[in-house]
Amino acid sequence: MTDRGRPCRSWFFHGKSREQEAGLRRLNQIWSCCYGLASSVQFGLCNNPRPLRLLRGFDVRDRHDYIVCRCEDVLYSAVEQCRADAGEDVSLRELKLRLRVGMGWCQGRVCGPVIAELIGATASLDPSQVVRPVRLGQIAGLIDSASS
Amino acid sequence: MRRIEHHPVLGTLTADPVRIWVDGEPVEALASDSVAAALIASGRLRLRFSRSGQPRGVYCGIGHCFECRVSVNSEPDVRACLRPVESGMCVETEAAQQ
Repeated sequence: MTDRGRPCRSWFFHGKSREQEAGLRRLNQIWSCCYGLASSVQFGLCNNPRPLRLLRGFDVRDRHDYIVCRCEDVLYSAVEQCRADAGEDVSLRELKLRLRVGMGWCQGRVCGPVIAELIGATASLDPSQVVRPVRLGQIAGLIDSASS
Repeated sequence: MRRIEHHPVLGTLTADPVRIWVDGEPVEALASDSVAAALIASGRLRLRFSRSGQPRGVYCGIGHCFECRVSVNSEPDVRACLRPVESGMCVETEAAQQ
């Protein structure tokens, strides 16, 4: 968004009327002030049933340096290369085994839907599901507190 | 890095100053900050390096991406964007150790 005045129309508002856009912007303001976070990111992750509309806004085919998986440093060009080697119908699992996408720290929270979108698959995780990483120590603590 | 001190919706920023330690240096933060906010406010954007050596910092800001992990009071791999600051807390970034 630009500093003041009219923000640029982002991917989020494609196909929506001016009234809808104004309403969403207002909602987005309330949202961001409640959470105190980057509002567009917040909206994109929490309220959008298809987070990957982000990718629809621009053509990734020209963006070979687009980082698909930040944990394992996998670029879009690597995914394309893998598809060239393994065939267009390469599965999510095969991409993961070949490129390590989704095997890093975030466990596919960032790259999972992106990869799924790129190969035309559906991500198995519903965006509305809240999945939190848990340390082994926390599980061990639960067992300890249950047995004592 | 400049803070937004007068917000059109939130009003004027009022929070008690808190001193934390980042890589051995004192940093003035605010009591309402997350560790990530305090780091950004003090101009520390580079927290880690990726596998191939690219600099990495706060990315998603909501605990998804694990890009902002730092060590806090010797507890490793804490997400800076989720941890509120506490007075005297000792934050170590991976970037400073290299």
